[in-house]
Amino acid sequence: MKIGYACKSDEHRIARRQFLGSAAAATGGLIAGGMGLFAQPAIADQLRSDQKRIVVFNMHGGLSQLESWDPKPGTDTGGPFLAIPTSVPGVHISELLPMTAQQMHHMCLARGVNTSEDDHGKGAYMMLTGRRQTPAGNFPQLGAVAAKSLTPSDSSLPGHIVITPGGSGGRGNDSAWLGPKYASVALGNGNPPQNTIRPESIAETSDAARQDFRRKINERFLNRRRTAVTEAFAYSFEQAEQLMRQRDVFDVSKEPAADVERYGTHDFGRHCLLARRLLEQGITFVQLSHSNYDTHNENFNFHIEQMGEFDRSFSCFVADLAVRGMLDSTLIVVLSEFGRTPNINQYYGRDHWSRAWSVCLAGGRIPRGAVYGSTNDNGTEVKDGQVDHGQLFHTYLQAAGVDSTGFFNIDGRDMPIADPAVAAVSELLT
Amino acid sequence: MNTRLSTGRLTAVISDAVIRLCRGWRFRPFPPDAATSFLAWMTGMILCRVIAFCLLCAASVVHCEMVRADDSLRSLVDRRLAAVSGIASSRCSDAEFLRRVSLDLVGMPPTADEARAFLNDVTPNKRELLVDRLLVSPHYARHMASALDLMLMERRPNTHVTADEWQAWLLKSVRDNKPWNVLAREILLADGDDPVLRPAARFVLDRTSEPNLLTHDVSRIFFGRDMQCAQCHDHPIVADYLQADYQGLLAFMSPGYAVVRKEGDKSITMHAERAGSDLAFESVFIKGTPHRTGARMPEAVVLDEPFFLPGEEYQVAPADGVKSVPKFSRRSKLAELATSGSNVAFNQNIANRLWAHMFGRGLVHPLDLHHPDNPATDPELLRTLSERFVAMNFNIRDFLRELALSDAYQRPFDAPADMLAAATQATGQLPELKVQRPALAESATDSATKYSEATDAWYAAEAATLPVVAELDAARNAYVEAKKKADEVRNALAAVTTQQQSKHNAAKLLTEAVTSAQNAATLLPDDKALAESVAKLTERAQQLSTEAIALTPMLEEKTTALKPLAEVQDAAKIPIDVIVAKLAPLKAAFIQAETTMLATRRESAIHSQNLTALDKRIETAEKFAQLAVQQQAIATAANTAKERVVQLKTLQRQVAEYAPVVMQAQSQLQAAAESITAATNAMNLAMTEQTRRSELASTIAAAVAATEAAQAKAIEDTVLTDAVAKLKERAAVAQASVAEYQATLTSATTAMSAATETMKVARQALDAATEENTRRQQAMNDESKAVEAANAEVATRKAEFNSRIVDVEDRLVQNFTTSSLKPLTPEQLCWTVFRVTGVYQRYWQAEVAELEKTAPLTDEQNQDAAFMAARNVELEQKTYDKLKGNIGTFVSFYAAAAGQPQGDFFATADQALFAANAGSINSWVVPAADNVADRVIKQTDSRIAAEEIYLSVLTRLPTDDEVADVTAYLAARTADRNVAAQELVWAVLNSAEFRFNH
Repeated sequence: MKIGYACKSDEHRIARRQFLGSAAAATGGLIAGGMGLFAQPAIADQLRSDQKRIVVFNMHGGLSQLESWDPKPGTDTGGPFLAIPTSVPGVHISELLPMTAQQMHHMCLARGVNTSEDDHGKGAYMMLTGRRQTPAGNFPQLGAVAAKSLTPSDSSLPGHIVITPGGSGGRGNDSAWLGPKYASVALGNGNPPQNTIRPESIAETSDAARQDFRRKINERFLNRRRTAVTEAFAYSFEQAEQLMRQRDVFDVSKEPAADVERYGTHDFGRHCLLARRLLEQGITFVQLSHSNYDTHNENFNFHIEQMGEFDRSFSCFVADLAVRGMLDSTLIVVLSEFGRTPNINQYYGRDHWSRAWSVCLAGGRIPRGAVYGSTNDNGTEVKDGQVDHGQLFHTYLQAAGVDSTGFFNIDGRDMPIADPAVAAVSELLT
Repeated sequence: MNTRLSTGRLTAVISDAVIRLCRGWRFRPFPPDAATSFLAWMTGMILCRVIAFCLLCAASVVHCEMVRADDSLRSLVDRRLAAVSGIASSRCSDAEFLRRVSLDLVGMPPTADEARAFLNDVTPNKRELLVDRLLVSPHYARHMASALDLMLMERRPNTHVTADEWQAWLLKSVRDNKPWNVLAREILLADGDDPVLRPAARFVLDRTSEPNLLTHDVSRIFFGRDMQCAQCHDHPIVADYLQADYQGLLAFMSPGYAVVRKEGDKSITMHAERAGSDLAFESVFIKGTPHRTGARMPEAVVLDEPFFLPGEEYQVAPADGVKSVPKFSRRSKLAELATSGSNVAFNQNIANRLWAHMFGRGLVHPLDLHHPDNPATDPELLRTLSERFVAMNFNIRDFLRELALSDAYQRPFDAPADMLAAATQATGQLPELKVQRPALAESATDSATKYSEATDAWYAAEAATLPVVAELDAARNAYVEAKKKADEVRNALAAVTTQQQSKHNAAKLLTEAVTSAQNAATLLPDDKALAESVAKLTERAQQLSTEAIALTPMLEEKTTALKPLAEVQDAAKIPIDVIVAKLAPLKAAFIQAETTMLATRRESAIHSQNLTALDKRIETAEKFAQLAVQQQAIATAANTAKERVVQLKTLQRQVAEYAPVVMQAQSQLQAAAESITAATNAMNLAMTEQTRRSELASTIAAAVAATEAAQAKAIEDTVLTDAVAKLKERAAVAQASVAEYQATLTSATTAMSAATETMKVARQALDAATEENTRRQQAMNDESKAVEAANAEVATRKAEFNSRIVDVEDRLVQNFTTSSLKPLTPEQLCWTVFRVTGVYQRYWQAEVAELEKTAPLTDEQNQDAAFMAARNVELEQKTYDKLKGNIGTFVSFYAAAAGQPQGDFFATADQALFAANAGSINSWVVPAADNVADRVIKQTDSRIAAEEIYLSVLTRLPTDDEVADVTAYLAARTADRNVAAQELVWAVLNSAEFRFNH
């Protein structure tokens, strides 16, 4: 008794056969992350001609939608700040974002987000994976999915970068079944990746000599048996060398001083400038975070401070991408784990609120200067255009040209790219 | 040696031997007497026959023994796989075997000295001896414990049981060669309460007792089925994984939960179990069709559980900080049934996983996707292997030993040198395979139909139970409700009874005290304080008695109140019994339907597996056949190219041959042209002369006429007459000269015509020759292009053939004809790096020295194998403890994320950056204390230096080319030989061969 719920079109079958026939089979099925190098050059060429990129601003702790994208001045929940007009007639955002307001014609606000999850960890998980956390399974984050879907196979640079506020870097644990190849490479406080500097004890000529000898040995061996895994292994050394040569890609100090000034001399400004640099150099996915918006106390003072930093750096970033003609190929997402309560608590704070909040989008297939969805007068409920994390995840991918309804073939298994139970929001795509 | 000698072959061999013997006899010089000699010859022949007969008898005995020997697991493997592959394959070299079996059984390669000793060993069964040596080494237990850890825990973080305790328990289990079913049973049973088995509880406790996670992982790890996608609906891609299967297994897990017990200031987390109940579920795709299942294992009928009234299910009821124990434990039942040897899924899973441990890929691959559409390379082999493994009492060590000694395991890494011969062999199978297909396909379709019908019947039987099950639920709820009410009063009654009883008891004790006190008071009548005490005690005793008696009405009241409630409760039992009785036949029918469904499902699975496996073999054979076709295509194309070249040469010759013809025509034309020029000149001259002569004649004629006209006017003018006469005379001369010249002119004209004609002919001849020449040139050029095209065709065909070879090589790996690539696990990588850089040996020697200080080895001990084995275990543990801190570094770079399958290979830049730039590997390859780099530096003979490197790092001797490479490398670096040595070791250590070839 066969029951086939999944789309079993011939394309799928053929693609799967091809995969099974080349990479997995070639290696004894031991290659992680699906397609081996053999299968890829054609696809890579196709992608490179118009490579799409994604950048995510993770507003850590839960940005207040009322102090940013969906202000409700003059209501019981509105707080002290006003709404100001933007470069899009009729669209108003918080007065805390005056510079960003001038870029609104590039952007699109989804004001009807409802994720029904008020826990930091779970909310962040949902927003970054498009799924609810399940005990038995783990899902890859957006960055891993983007890196796998969008990075040309011969790219020497990692496809999934996370700029962390601190730390020493290393490989993130965020790619689940896509495997470590697509896990994030962390840039601790914006510093270049680990181990990219040759130790002083090894002379450059010495390193070159041993690498040459290694290639020579490999050539002998690979002439006996060449498979996707041996190729991937040999290639990782070339990639490492290229990464060392291209270390400058990660060096934000190479950016003009005027830009540093423009973006703001604080860490977030520097990270935004680094993100611009990385995207320009062809990195597929960059995630950076701005911390910390968990304002149970003194919500308004905190937001004045935080939004001030954000407004300057973010508006410069959007404007620069627009000027450089990168918006068509780069999706920008500003998200949090959730929003904040319309109700103002006794400490002048706002608490966790996932039932009606906003996500800001720009670039790729996202409509420009648009607003989708709305909340009621005092922002306690979604009035129309309600979307959740799963729909948004599909939307992000489709905005960047990925068919989110497709599958990844992982070691002979078809894994849906995004939650098959939901679909992208067509109104958020042009 | 090939143990599969057929009787026929044996007979042939023996007959051959006997005939030689007879020949020997015959060659003896005949005695002079012919008759005697003939007799002797006859006797000899007869004797020969007798000997032959005896040998044949002996042979059949030998043959019987061979059949018995043939029955070994390893020969079973080889027989089955030889049939699947259909092509002969050779055995790998000693060096290849040594590296492979060392890494697979003890997790690290041998030292250079050990490798050299093995390669030089001439003992015929040295491979077998090696395997036995490895299997008793302390490193075997370490490596297998690590492999089991990876398989069972997949690097999940430890929360309730430390990884050290768990690994120590696994290590001991492997050292004791604990059968797999016992190990699995302990893991599936352990709840963390029993300190001895608490490490085994890590499996469940560090999965936080989460039922769905446990279902997922138990299903994958113990039954080889990744049914995650069947949690909310039938599996969308794997037709065989039903939601009912998932839910049935979940029903074993769902009563489980984690409980924390306080012991002093310690909190101990344990796994506890509630009484199980049915699970209700429905597919998210097919709403409105409810299902219910009890606990059901893969490939088994639903568990038959005793029925308990609510409140009677527990040995220890659940409560805060208490580990509840139900009377019927599903978990225990799962452990018992799974490991009893009768669960096919359980048995095949482990046989396949152990196979994959040795071979680098499973017979079923991926390891957790056992289902009919993904059959084993040879389904029959997997079935038999798993049955054998059960029959050998799940003995992991013995099983691995057999696998290691199979020919299949000892296949070379290189593909067969003569692919085409292999292709011919494989292709030869095609007709026979194709003949098998229709029957198999038919039985697969038939059994699928039967399975489909049985499934419908099964769902129908399930649906029939549901209304009655709902009734039972209602009756049970009613009973629970009635019991709850009665229990409230019972509890109150019990409380009052306890209270009354304690008052009575206190009063009784007091009364006894009063009696004693009174006795004392009698002896001490003046003691006032005593008297007062007596009074006080008496008063208190009476007070307590009174209080106790006062409780009696309440007791009676409660008792009265309880009576109707208890009756209601008792009455509520009756419908339960009735419904249970009503349900019984429906349940029996369901079980019957389920039994049928499972039988047809198994049948269908076997047929479907066999068919799919056959199709795979056909596909492989066809790929091979295509190989031959493509080889033929190359030959044809090459032939065409060759013929074209021949043709081109002919045409080139024709062009060359024709050149004189053209040249001749050209020179003829040239001559004709010259003739024409001469004729033209002659004719021009003649015409000019004739014109001159004609003009003279005309002028004279005109003068005659004019003079005659004048004469007519002056008749008789004689001068005139004379003049006329003279003129006429001259005119006649002139006229004659014209006439006379006309012949010259005519002849010139004729000559001209002739020359023109000649010219025309010559031109035509040249045109024809040129045309022919052009035609020949064209033909030559065309042919030249055709040669180019033919050569291109050859190149294309060759490229196609090469890519097909890669494809076919993959097939050869899949059916275990050639050995597969096996990347080192992070642990293997760590220990192998330590081994080949000499770090391991250095630490080991340090431990030996340490041990020598505290407990010097006596000669007697040195001779005692058991003592030395125990000492080795101790040394291994100590060395491991010193170095184990490094495993984490390798894991962080080379391992998949926690909770993900750990078998997938991946290569990332950060690994290569670690290898190139981090301190670790760079520092270990520095020459030190007789490590490989150090030996290279000290070695003056560069061949031996190269051997040191290759034997140490790759467990093989270098080829001549490789020796030359090393020699050249070192020769260029006399100034910094130590750095060069270090570079060489680093390079070999980071080669693909090091990473993959074992």
